Amino acid sequence: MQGDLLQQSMSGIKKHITARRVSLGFILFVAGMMLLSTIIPQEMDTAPAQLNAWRQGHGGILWLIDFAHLQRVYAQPWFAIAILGAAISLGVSAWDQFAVAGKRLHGTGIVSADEIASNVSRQQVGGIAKLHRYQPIAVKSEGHLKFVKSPWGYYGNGLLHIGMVLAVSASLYVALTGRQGSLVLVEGETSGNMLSWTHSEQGLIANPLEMPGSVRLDKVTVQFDGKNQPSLVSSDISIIKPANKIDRITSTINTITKYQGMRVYHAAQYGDAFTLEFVDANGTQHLEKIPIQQPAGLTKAGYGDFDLNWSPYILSAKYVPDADHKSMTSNNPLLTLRLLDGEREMARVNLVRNSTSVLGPYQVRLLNVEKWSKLIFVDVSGMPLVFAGFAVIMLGGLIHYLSPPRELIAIRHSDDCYRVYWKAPSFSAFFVEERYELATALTGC
Amino acid sequence: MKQSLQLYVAANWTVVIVYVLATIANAIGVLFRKDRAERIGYWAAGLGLALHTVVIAIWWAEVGHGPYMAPTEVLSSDAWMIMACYFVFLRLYPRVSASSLIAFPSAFLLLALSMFYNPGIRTLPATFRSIWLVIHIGLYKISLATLVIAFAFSIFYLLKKRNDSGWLQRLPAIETLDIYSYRFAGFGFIFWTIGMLAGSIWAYQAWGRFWGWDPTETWSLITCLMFGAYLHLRRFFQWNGTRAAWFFIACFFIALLSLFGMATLSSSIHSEYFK
Repeated sequence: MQGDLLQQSMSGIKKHITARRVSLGFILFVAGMMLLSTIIPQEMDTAPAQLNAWRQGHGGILWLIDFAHLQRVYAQPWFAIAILGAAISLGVSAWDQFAVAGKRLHGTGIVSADEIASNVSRQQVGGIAKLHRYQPIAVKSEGHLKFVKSPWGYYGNGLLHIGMVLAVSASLYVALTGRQGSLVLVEGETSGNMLSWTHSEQGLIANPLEMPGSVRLDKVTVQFDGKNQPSLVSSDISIIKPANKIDRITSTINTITKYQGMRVYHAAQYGDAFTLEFVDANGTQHLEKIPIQQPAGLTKAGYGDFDLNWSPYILSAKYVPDADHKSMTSNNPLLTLRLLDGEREMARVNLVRNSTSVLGPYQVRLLNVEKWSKLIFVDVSGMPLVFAGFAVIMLGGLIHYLSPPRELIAIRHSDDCYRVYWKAPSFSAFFVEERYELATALTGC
Repeated sequence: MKQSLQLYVAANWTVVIVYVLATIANAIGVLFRKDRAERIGYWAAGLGLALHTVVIAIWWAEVGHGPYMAPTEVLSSDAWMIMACYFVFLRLYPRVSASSLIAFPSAFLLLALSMFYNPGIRTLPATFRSIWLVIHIGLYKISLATLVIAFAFSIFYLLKKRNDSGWLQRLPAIETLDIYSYRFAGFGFIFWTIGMLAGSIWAYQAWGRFWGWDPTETWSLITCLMFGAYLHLRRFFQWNGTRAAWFFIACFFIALLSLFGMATLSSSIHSEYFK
């Protein structure tokens, strides 16, 4: 009795989970939330100043935004629950689809099939089917023959859904447990303690990522091809562990380096860092090291704006890799500094190594130029499952849309004479010519 | 370098002119039942495509990277892919021929538009040197091309439904137009999805994260989900005919917004190539 009740309630739950409206509802809900996240600026990718400006302009709806945490949509438990719900719904429905695919493949298939020939011999049906690459399929009904072209096509939709479930579930796991930290270092510079990242983030249920030691950037190598495009960007780093034990690794763009279970990536951010000495009107010295992104060509500049805590002005900087515009690796960059008071330019100066000039109220000297780079340390598991999900989605989608099944069914109506039917369960209009060829080839007994 | 840029611009305008002539001849052929004009249209389009291929190949060798770094290159390769996919599908499914009425003008408009985006040479960032990037971009372009064909069939369906006379009578039966629109939307969906997945593999290889919720990524996923909803509605809720055609047209414009709108309006890794 209890078993029956349990079974009934399970099938009730399954019925609701796999209801088409529920699946569609989940899809549209997730799409709607994403749409909302593009309208309401999200904390994770918006500068605080921009965020505040937006909030000041939308005072009337802030209560709702704060109540539902709509500025952190992707970090909300209800968003994770919606994705989990979609994954469960898709998973259960994929299971059903596999069962249906098996039934369709081995069923008689006569429903909704068109008769294309009558009085055809068994031998002829078999021969024509083989010629057109229709494979024989065993069916239980007496006097029925069935041939199917692309029989795997029945499983495409199920695979597509299984792949989505796999990818969505694994992505959710990665989002909840993944953690990473990034470091921006200049050559010779060493990071602080094991948690002193330039930027770090972790999933809802993960602890912050810790390095086994401090990190020193030893050398940045940038090579260019004949068209002045970077062909190799790599950084040699030393990881200094307690008791001065040092591990040395090299991180290169587009190559993942593994270190103690973590993956180390070289980011696309790298370039030259300029050490500047400022002397103000009181004779006070201020040393600044400003890292600027590598310019994209000989005549292109890298740019950066810097807020100096000892000055009321913004320092806006740009540089070209070679003051003579001859080589990307000249070691003679030309730095242009501007002092900005809000939008207004107060002063401007050009500097090369060891040159000194006056920039508004300051005397400025370019002391040194070194390379800098950004490194990303990632500790994440579950990615192989995400990519396995992608592979299954691709396989399922390609099978379903590029290779739909077609059926040739023969039913015996006298000794060795068969009526022949044809159908394509989906996209039949695409196979009108194939149907015509079969009908023409199948002549009478 | 300046000379090669001038040659590049001149060659592209030549291709635009050939495509325009192909469009005119094709339109006359289809609309006024002039078979010879239609054939001339195909030959001219084929010639334009061949020229366009040569221009893209030479420019590829000149700048050292594929046609995906500058707006000019992006739009030009989109136009090329629309034409190339049209001919491939024409070979596989001869009844797509009428979609040339939308495909040919789309190609010449995109190519002409590309010439107003300050053609020039862009440096390929080191992180862009990945085969996954090429697959990612290539699949989106194929997806756009198939969606243009599906869009053409949706438009034809709506026109034929309203008034089945004149040149519209030469189109396949209304049910066939509906099913072709559905099938090509399916192709578009699958190429779009695989393109998006290839992009996330590339991002994971390059930066250690496979998804960053940047505006283009988010809109791309929204588009994918909308096409998923469209296919679900057709398959399980028996949506077809007029409302399916309108729903697809809405999805198509969302796809255009994802591909071109967000790249222009937003700021992210995806918009860099459009700045």
